[in-house]
Amino acid sequence: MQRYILKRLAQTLVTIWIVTVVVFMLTRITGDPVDLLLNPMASEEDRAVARKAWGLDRPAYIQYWRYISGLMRGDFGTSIYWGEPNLKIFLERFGATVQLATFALLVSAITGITIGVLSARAPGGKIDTFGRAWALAGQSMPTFWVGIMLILIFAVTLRILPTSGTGGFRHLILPGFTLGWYSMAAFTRLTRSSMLNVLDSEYIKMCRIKGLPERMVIWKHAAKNASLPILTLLGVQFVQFLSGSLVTETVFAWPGVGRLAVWSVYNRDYPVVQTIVLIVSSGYLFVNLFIDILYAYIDPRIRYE
Amino acid sequence: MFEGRGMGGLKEALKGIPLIPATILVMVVAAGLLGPSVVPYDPVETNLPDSFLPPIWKEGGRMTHPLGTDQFGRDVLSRLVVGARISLLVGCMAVFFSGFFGTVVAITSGYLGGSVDAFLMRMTDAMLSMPYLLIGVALAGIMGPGLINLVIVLAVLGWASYARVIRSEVLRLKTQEFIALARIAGCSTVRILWKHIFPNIANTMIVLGTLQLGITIILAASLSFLGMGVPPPTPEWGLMVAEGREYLSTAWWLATLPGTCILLTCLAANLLGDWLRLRLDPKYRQRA
Repeated sequence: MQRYILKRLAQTLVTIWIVTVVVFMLTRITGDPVDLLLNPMASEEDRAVARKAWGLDRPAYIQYWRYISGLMRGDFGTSIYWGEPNLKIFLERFGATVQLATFALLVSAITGITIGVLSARAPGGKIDTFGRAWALAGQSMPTFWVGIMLILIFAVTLRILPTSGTGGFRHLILPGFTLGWYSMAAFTRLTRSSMLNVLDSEYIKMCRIKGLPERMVIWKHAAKNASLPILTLLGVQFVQFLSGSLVTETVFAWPGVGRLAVWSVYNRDYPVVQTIVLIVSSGYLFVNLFIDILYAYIDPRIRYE
Repeated sequence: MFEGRGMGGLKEALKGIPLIPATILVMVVAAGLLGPSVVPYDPVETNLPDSFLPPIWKEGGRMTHPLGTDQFGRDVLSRLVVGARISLLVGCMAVFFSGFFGTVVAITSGYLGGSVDAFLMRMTDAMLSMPYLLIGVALAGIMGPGLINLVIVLAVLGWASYARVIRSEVLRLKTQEFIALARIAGCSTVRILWKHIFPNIANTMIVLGTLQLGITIILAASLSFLGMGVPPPTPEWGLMVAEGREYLSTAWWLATLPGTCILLTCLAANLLGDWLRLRLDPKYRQRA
């Protein structure tokens, strides 16, 4: 078990290192990063001053070393626009995104799992057909359009919910549903296939032969065993929401990390963009590592593969 | 892929194809190929006196503009049709390049194994862990707006999904007897990859490509919506939704109709992809 954990940890750290290289290269792919970071009208003297101030006159490997050693000390660099540490700017807006992501996760998990379980109970029936159509539609609609349609129906036409911004639970509903829309489909599909696999197994047939009520068969026995892949999806989806919030936060003017990212790209504040990419990627990789270790702990076959 | 020859073979191959999604996709492709030459109006030319005309089924709608006009008096139907060409062009090119690059990585990684495999898989993991829309927005912001840049960004974002799936297929094939026999017979690695591995992963590539088309179209529309894709006044569906957003209370059709086009195209691509998967995957064929 320890060997497996160390191996997976090593893989995760190597992958994070590759992410830091990609993030470092991001502002250098079109040539001189100063062209990207400064106003295009900046004079040659301004460029020279900026280059020296940001250490961009040093060779690339020295710049990378300074970047990586800064990261290890918790220094993610400074924002060009705000003039403040990138980490501070990120953390100020992180709370709003976590709030939105948590609500979206609850909504999508509860809806998706319920529809998935009901679909699996009667495959081919009305709920199953509806569930599969719903999942398909969910994965074919762009998030920004879902958001705009919800605004059109509930805010503009019915006037029962606000169009944008923060201020209470009512402000959370439309953005939460928008962000969770795509993953509702994922939860529905996964729950349905996971339940169908479990319901097909011998011990479930045994439960039915014993005469257990169907409610107990589904919720006490089948659902518990089908839940492992669903728990994985919960973890992975939460982190994906943190990154996928870009569009939702833009549509609803939600003051989170996603909106910060888009705004930073528009305003060429790439140090902030690099920080967001690095933190979100690392979060995703560590969540995956945690899930893999959990799986290996529960199912010993995995660690011996 | 096609059993038999000529029309008989084609008929057999298309047996059971879902008609509605196929029809939608044929219509979108036809709009993309022929549309720009047959649309009644120039999609970028403004005509302010005719701005904000509603669609024909609403009061004030006109036969001359069946789906209404936008804030600049541009015909919505003409813009939707030309937008179909852009969405399909961007989608198909991005899927082709990401599929090509992903397959090369998968075959190299899966067949050669060892440290090459380990390194390439760490690269793939890194790509898959990064928030793709954010990377897309950042890359698009750095490279600047434009159709070609959008295709490059989408190809860079998409290759890792192919690499992952196709590598699994290659690993499975590598252990098959016919590969071992080919090696014993003295075939070079290149010959084995080209003559034996590649034809056997072609089905997976086709299915994956069809399923990725829907995702890629949505991603392209999202980048254009955020102002990072195709620049105005080009009529890209995502960009049209973004432009129509501020007129939601007065001219709802400007944001609704382009989004409906995206939905129908992706739905059709996903349903066809599902059908193809059932048709081409040997596991399902044997059951049938």
